[in-house]
Amino acid sequence: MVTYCGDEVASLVLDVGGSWTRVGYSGDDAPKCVVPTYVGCLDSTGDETNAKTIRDQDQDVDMTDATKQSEEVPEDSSAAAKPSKPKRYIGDTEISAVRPGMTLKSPLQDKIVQDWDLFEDVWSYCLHNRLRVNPKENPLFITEASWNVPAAREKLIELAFEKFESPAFYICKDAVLAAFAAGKSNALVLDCGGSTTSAVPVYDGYALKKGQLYQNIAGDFVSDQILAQIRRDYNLEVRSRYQVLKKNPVDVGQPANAVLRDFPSGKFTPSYHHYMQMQVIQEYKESVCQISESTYNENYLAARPQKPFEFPDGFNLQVGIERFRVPEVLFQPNQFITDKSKPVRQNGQVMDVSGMTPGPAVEGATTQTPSTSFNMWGVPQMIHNSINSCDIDLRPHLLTNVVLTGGSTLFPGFADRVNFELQSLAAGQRIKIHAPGNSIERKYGTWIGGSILSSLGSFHQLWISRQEYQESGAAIVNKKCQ
Amino acid sequence: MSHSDALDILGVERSAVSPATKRVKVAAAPQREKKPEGVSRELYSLIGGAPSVVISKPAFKAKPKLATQTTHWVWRGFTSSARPDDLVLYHWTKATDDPSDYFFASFNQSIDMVTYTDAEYDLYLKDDHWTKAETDYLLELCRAYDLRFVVIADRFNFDGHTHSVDDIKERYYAIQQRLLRARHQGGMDDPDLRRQLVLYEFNKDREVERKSYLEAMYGRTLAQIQEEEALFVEARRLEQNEKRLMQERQTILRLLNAHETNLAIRYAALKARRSQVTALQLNTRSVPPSPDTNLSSPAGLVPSRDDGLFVGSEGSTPDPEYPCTPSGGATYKSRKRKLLKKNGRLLSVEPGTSRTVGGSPSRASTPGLKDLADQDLAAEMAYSPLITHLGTKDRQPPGAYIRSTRITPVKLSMSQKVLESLDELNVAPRPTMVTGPICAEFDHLQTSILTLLELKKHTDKLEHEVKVATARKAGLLGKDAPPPPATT
Repeated sequence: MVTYCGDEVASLVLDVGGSWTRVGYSGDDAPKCVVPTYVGCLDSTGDETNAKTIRDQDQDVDMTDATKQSEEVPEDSSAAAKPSKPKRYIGDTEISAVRPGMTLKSPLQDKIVQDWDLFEDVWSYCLHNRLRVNPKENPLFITEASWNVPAAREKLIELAFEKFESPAFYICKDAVLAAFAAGKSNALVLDCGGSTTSAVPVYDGYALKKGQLYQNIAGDFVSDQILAQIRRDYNLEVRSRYQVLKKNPVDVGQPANAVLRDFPSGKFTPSYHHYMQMQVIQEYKESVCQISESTYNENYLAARPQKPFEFPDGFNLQVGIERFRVPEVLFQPNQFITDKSKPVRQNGQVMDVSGMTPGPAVEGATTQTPSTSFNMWGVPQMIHNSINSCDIDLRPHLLTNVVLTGGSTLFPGFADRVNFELQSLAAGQRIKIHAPGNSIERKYGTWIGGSILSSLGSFHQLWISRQEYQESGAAIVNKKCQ
Repeated sequence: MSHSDALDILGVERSAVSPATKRVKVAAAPQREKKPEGVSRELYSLIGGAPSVVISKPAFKAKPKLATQTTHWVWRGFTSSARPDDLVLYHWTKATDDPSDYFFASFNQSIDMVTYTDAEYDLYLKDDHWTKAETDYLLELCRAYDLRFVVIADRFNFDGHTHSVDDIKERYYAIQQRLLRARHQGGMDDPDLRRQLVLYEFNKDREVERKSYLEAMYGRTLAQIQEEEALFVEARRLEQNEKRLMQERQTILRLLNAHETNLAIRYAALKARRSQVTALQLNTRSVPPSPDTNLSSPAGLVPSRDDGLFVGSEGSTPDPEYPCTPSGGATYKSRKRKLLKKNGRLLSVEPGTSRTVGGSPSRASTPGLKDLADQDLAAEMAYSPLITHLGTKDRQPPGAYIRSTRITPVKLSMSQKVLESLDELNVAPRPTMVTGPICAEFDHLQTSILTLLELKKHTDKLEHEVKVATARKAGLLGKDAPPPPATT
């Protein structure tokens, strides 16, 4: 215990991210369970009968739903007591289940809690249903966005002590934890996840407020662009897995020949359908998409081998330049945005992109000059701007400690490209990118940092105890968790 | 020889020993396995009869450590003295561990933050840019963030008022210094106080200046950096070139010098000889020339510096083709004879006499010297074969030798060029009539050619370099200047 300075007190680490929630025991090297941060809400107005009929009609769907039955029981009883309370479904299988009328909602926007009810449900689900622990017994360590507001932090500590009755509580900024997971106390953390891309400078274990930048051009945004691109190029709406009963093989680029499930129209909410489409696009991104390692050059990239992809309905493609062009929106958003209907938020402020110059032309896309009024940041610009807002003495340290974390940094070529672009942005400086090759470490960097920090022997003096909370009130969180 | 043969030789009866052999056979039989049917003998000898494998049983026997007790691990609650409250957390520890205080509590170090009273503030710490409340807030932040000034500056927000890192540092260090001075009991020259004051030294202007330089360095664009690097490389190249040029210049100077000293030596020698000749002429007015008895003596033995004059010329008749001096009257032949005579005299002359000879030019204003004008001397010197390194450079080899072997050999790499030059001058590659003077003259010619070739090489190289440099200059100027309009 002395040699590695660790001392485990069986605390729980809960990291609620923009699209995934990770939870597990401190001291572990990976979270015990990972749950989508979406809550399926079903109004208790009588859709239950519909759900039943669909279940009867299709055995396959029933199978997906079967696991839910046991967990639904307590909710049923509560629903009986309070009939107005809508049903909530959380968990991968739950929210993916075919359930007419269910809307999917995220409790967060820009990683800041908007809907506390849903948020509490997510916590409850993770601790009670997945870890199956009694939160009263274990200290609770949670993560927050670096730009979280004091009011939200106070609500978090209230939630932990009032609702879950934790014995001790601590909250830490995700950028700091990602830096710790990389073994650094000074770092510039670039977190490119599902919902948000952020660049936060970390100095000696403190996230600096002045330099933090975040923008919602991240994994989900790229997925939306891909959907729009497929819609534009093939005049086709991507069918998700739940719609297809049986698919037949077709030639490349030919219309799908599939037997679809016969659902009454309007049974499924757009949010559910979009979520299911996102699942397909997630697969598409993982198997096909790539980032150009150096400057985006269409002529050069077109010579790269094409990659095949088959959609759930059998429609399949050989993806050529598109597999580079669409993810390029992460690096050159001003030039490569396809779907301008999606709002872009920068540091919490919504930008209107609908009036922008047309999307990528086939030729000369790189030469397009961005309109001055819309300046979205590419990943390297974010890093560079963030570093430049720090003290000059600090910049070399940050440039040599750029930590990449988050699932969207797993695009092949991402780290190379960041390195390449930074070298031209910060000319003459030594640049070192830390990007773990292990995808688990990259995806769950924040959680792993939390696991490391909360299992350190010298950390235990920092917990906010129940007693302290009762004496000082919720404001103590802003004093003790800097 | 088998066992039975031995028995036969020894005359031992066979039946007497047979029981023993039988017993041996019986004893050996079980070890040998029977050859299975259908397997050839050769094959069986390969697979069968392998040495038996020794099966060793592990001899180790774990002994229970009855004397030592196993340590128990217990799930135990603990409190930490580093905490303000008595929160009980639980962890696994050895039952033997001392539960009095938490091990990691000793790592809880905090800094001692300076404090001051209101009176002290009013007396010493007043500042135009800081109010007391703001200063208090600053010290509170310093305590909270353990003097991490970067973080303090980041979090500093006093009613919307912020300060830069340097402002904050300046204020903090100024507070420390002023309070140290104010609270110090002894005189201001106390070395202890000085040492402490130095710790809190902070010069904001210098820091700001340093940072502005750093900013300028950081703000360089890629093109600027590349230009800077190119200039640096160019400067290095120039430096190295200069060194190389100096070396080359010295080589050339040496070459030229060698040539000139050679001429100078010859000039001096000739002059000396002339004066000797005049001296001799003066002498010969009264004294008739003695027979050339000394001519046959090996000239190499002559200790005088002028010995080179006669190396290899053992009194042979001069070559008729040998060019005559332009001086009117006396032919080279006659003059040479005089010289030889003089030399012969010199050999017998005492050192004391030679001094008088050396001093002769001072009084050499006799009309007999009129024909030996300076330009005549120079012209003669140019043709004189007598002073060459052919004679001076090496000693006389013992015994007889062929004179032509004494001609300095030409380096193989240069030989072709030398031959060409000789051809241009209509001189045969080797002298046909190898008399002493011819050899000397030929050698001199060859050396001159070599020197000239060497010089020419240098000239060519320099010319080439000048050309390259001119072209580069033109190129560089052309790049900076607007591109000329296309003429084609």
